[in-house]
Amino acid sequence: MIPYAMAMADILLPGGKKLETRILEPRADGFTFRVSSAASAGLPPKGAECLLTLFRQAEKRYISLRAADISLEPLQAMPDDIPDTVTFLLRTKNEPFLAELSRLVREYTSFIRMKLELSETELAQAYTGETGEAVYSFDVRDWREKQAARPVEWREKLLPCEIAVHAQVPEQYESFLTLDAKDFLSSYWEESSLSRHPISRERVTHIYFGDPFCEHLFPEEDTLRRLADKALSSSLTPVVCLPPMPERLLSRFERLLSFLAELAAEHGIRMETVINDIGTAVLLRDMARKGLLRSDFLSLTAGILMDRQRKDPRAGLLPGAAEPGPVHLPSDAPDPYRQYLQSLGIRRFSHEACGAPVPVQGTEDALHLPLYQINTSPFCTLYAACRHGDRGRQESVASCPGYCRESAFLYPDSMRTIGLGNTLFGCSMTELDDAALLNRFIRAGIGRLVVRL
Amino acid sequence: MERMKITAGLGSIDDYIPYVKAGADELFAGFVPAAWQKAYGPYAPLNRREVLCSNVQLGSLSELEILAGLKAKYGADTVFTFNSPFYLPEQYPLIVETMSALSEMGFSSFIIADPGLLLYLHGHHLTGGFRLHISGEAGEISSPLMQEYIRLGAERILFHRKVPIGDMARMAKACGGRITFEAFAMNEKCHFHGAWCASLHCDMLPPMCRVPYILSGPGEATDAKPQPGYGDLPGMTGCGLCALHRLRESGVTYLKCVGRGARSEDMLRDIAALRTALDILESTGDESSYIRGMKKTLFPEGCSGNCYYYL
Repeated sequence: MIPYAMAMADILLPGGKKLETRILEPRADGFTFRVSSAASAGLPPKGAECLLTLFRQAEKRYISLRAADISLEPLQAMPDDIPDTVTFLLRTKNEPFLAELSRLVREYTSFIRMKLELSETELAQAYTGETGEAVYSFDVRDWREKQAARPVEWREKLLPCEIAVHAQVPEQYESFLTLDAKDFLSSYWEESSLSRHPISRERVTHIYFGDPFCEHLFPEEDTLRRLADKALSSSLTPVVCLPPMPERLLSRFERLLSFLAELAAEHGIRMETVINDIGTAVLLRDMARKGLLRSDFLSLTAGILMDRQRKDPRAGLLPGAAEPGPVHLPSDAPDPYRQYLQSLGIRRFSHEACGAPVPVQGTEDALHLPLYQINTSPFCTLYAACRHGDRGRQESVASCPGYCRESAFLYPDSMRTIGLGNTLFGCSMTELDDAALLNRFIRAGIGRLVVRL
Repeated sequence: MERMKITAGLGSIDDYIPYVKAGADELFAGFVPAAWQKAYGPYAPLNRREVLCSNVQLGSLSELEILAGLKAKYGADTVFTFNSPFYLPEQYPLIVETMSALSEMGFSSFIIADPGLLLYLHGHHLTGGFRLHISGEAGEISSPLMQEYIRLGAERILFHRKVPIGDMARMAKACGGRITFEAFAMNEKCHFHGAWCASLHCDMLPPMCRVPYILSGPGEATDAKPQPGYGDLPGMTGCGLCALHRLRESGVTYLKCVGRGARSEDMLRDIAALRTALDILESTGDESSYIRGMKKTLFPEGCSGNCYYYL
């Protein structure tokens, strides 16, 4: 049976009707297909034609061929046939039609053979043309340096926009609280292997606190208060970043949202709060409706986990892909998802730079770079691997020793991918290294660059 | 207490009868119409398998007509999955057109994951005609979000693989019996979360969760081992059979046996194992008796140990 994505066969019936069929068995002179007994009534008609649409992998497109000289012959029912169906043999002498069909069979057979004989990795290599031994970085620092530590100069000046850094582990919170803000930022760029990068010479305006993926990394309320105080006194705007809210943390989030609103009220500011699931926004709306908090002291931003789009560093390697790089699907059509989030009070949307156009629609949106999230687990993959020796043996844990401060999942360097904590990231330096490209984002509506490596 | 039902992945209509005879109460399947393929190509996913060369999707309307006949004869419905976590907004009309065509053929239950699609259906007053199952890929991990999905037209919630059973119970309770719940029971235990997955799921490149890695840090680096493939034991790629008692107590009534496009023999074995486990569950009282009886019957030599739920 030929997969329908590879080949679609329409039997064009007299009178303009058509019968969409699936190729069961290709043959040298045509192919077989089946229909229900009811649909077989009247077949074979005189004057029917066949429109064959096939995918050409090399060109990454469908082509269509029409055969007018077809014959349809019902075949004798076989024991394995589905009851109440009739299988037909379509024959033609149309040579281009048969040649394409033959090519299709060769491609499909080749795929099946490789699928049976090769590992997933070998199969991927066969299709992408990437060969050779995978080279892995030694550790996270090594990986960061390979990605970023090289001379970069921007050829134009960065347009005015907010620049943010992201503190998301307790050691960074402590460092921010103890160091002078200037020293903290120097340390931040150094640890990110970006100290010689021109972005490190831009004025940082915002600092994010909290990890968007892991609740264990979120600061305690007292720490958060001190972080916010320190940021404000250092002329940095604090942004609080929340992880997704699972059911077991519902009451904790209720308390936390109330706390954030109170903290903002104390400072007379609107605390920008990044949420990473719709449920948190719904909870906030419902709490405000019940008068449980002053939501007007919070300014909501949709985090990167709410930026639903394809980000795969290998997408450009698919057969026939025009250019290397991740696939994005920008759209100008009205987006009910975005409109709905706005109705829940979301004012800013987060995107990630990943080597391809980003569908920016807002005027204040944030662009995170150079890491972009690929996949996240609600339980920690790293905890499972370090604790149990099996990344799949995941569980909800009450407290975590913080394996993410010492360990990471490393992937072949050519993939520019790393597993940090419970999340897999790609790394795209394309945007960060090119001020002209960043300026295009800014002109399109990006109002803030959030830098973390 | 309502008897739990099995919903099994169907990659070809040829498997419908054997799967139903093995114990499936419901099937779920993907269908990508020619119009979609031609408009967007094979790599723009209509569901979570953007495959080109693998027989994972049911193909062509004539095949679906046959499936409709099978449903009329054997009774088990097929739910069609439109569970890509995101679509282009301009793709929604074609999705609705496809849903309508399926509905006219007698298939009106759909699994969806993109909140935008749910909002589009709701905004166009289309949720009444369709029975909407919210995929775990929609990220429903809390009762406030679940209540919102119900408000927008959800009739069934599929708990994602990584929702703790305690959370399932709390969420089901919060929903007050207004909808049904489904949970994963067999196969394809992903290490990550579909709602937060931006990776390809095509057939040339494995999903990113299956790409080999090494663990760096203190101690020895661990060579990446690919996740196990389907083997001789039921649930080699993920098994939740020990948790059936607890899932039932939490309010789950549908159990998902994943495996669209898997070998039919493996799926048949897993559906049959799940059916056997449910029969044992029906005939035993407490959880430990059930687990003991189930393991003795299905895994006398030991199980895969690849648990969905760690009890």
